[in-house]
Amino acid sequence: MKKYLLAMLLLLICASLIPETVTGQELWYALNFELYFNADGTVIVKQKLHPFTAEGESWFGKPEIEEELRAEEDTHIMFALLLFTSDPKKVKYEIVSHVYKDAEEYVLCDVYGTGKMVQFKGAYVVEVLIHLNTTDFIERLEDSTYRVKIRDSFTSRDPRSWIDVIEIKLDPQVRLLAYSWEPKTAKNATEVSETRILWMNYNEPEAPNVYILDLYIPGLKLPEKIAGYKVRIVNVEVKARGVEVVVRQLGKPGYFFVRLVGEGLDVTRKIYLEEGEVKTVFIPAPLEGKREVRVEVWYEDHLLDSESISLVEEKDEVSVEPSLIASKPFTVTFLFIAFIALSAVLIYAVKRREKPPYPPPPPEYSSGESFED
Amino acid sequence: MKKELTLIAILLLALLLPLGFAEKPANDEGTIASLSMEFYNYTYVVQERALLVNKLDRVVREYVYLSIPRNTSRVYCEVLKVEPKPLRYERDEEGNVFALVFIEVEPGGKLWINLTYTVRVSGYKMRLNREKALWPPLEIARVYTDDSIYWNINNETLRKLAYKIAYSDNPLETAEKLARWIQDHLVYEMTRGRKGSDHALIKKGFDLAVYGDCVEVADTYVTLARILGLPARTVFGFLLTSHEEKHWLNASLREDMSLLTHWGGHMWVQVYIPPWGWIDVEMLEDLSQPKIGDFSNLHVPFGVEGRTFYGSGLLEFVIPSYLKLEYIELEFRRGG
Repeated sequence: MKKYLLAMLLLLICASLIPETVTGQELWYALNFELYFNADGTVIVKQKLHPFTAEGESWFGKPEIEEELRAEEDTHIMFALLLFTSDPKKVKYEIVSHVYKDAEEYVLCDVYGTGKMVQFKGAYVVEVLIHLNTTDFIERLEDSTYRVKIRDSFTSRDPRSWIDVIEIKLDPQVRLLAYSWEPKTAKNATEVSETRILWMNYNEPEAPNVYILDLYIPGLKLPEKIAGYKVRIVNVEVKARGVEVVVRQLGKPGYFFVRLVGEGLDVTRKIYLEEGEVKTVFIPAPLEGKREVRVEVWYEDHLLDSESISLVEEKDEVSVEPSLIASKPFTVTFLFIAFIALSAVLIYAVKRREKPPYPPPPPEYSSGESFED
Repeated sequence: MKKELTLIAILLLALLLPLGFAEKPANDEGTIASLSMEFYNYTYVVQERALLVNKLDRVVREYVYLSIPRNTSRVYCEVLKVEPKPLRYERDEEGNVFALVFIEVEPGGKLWINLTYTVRVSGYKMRLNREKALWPPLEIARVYTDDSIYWNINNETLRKLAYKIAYSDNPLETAEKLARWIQDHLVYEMTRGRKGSDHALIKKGFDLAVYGDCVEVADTYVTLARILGLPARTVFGFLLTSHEEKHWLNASLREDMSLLTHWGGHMWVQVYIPPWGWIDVEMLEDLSQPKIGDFSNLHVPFGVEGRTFYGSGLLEFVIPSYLKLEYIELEFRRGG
């Protein structure tokens, strides 16, 4: 069940952290989801929505609702993607059917909080096919066996919303090996068979936030390497206070991580690279006492390139410690001038002291010995 | 001549020896980071009251979500009383805490929700040495420089702006430049609805400006910071003007700027810069200068947003479903 306010009315979510105040008609949606897992690693998400007022009156079929739902189709698709990911922009999907009205469908919801489902006739439906290998919440357990986590994307956004009914169906080639849910305080599935699991959620606290399935999916292959993103390290140079890395973009533009990693060291800069761009990135880092560091370039979770640098070798040629002149040029210059001036003054003083205050005696008094002592 | 050379050598040694000691590198960064910080702890007792009204012609039975300050290294909250008694305490996906209360209200009926809790806030002032600032580890960068519904890092205008105004090899310098630019280009206006950074940035003459209130300021900062690889997140809570005051909101009143005189719901930013960790960035407390690592204990943080696509749903403090929140007040007093 999801709270919804017509767009022409005042919609406040969190403006300056003001609690929500509403005028006009407030609507709710009963949310029933059907998920069909195909053997090829895709899943079809069918959302069935039924609008109703807080009094429980159905608003199915009202023209303004249909208009609003069509205008907000992207949002509904987003909620489907968010079942499987934190970042919907990275998910590959296809719209199987745009928002349509199905007068023969039924949608269930515990409208009055009494523990009894109200059956609404009619549903607005939108269907999306999602490629699981582009989603986040999937983990390979062993060959062709995967743990798929399905997050309630409504609860995730708004704590008072939840999916009322979720029905998970499996292709005959897909096998259910195990299932669980989070949090454990939520309720178990209502019905479970080899090819189907059904959860009927009467309220938000009883509805799982995450549905966890261990599935055998023969056709699902997780990508080994992300296609199209290619960045190479062109040059690495150890500088006074860090490492300078030159990288070249050879594929699609995007954000990349340039990382300096070593014993007790993990420093990462994120940069944007245009197509074909060569960029110099300086990574400040304390390199004292390090013998070797590695430079890595990442795109999301994928390592694109790496290069190790031995600091022991580098130290012979380029000092990791900044030279005195490089780090404090003004101080050194000042001290040098001061030194010259002081030396000159001292030498002058010594010379003066050595000179007799009066002219030397005439030659006839000279003993021929040195005056030095 | 021998005497002259000896004198020069002594002079040279006397001048250069102290330099050798002065250049000795400081190798304990953790110690430096911890020693360069002063704390200003303050404990509040908060009495929160919220009036819920059933405007329907039927009995409403529902769960109400009450946002509670989340404990961190700088915030410690202890709940003293919640009425009606909560079923349990939970966390949302961001890790923010809420109490779950079940209530039943007759048609036309009203119900007060009362909470009392103490919150110890550690205000702090860091002496940030720019030379010590580092960029984050990969895992932190991955999570906290990603985009979200409010922080679109792929917006080209924002990306170009970020690189133009704040690109630097030093993360602290980036943080400072961003805060200064936003302060200098802010057109403050109370706005309704959270627009996200895409819509917070407007054209003003030949320049760009940030239009909105604390939420737009925070969202714009987080997006720009994330574009430049500086981990950033938003914090929501209250900003008080003194240690003892009452904040209230009457939902039936339609207020604009006058709201600011009695409601201090606030949002600000934190950036992650090793070796210090999360540092608060406040751009609205003192409009003449942004505060980075200078966090007054007049802030009462409730929770953070940074890991999830939609952020936190707990920003409204008291969240009913069918019932209407008619009035809410939070009274802050000095605690023990």
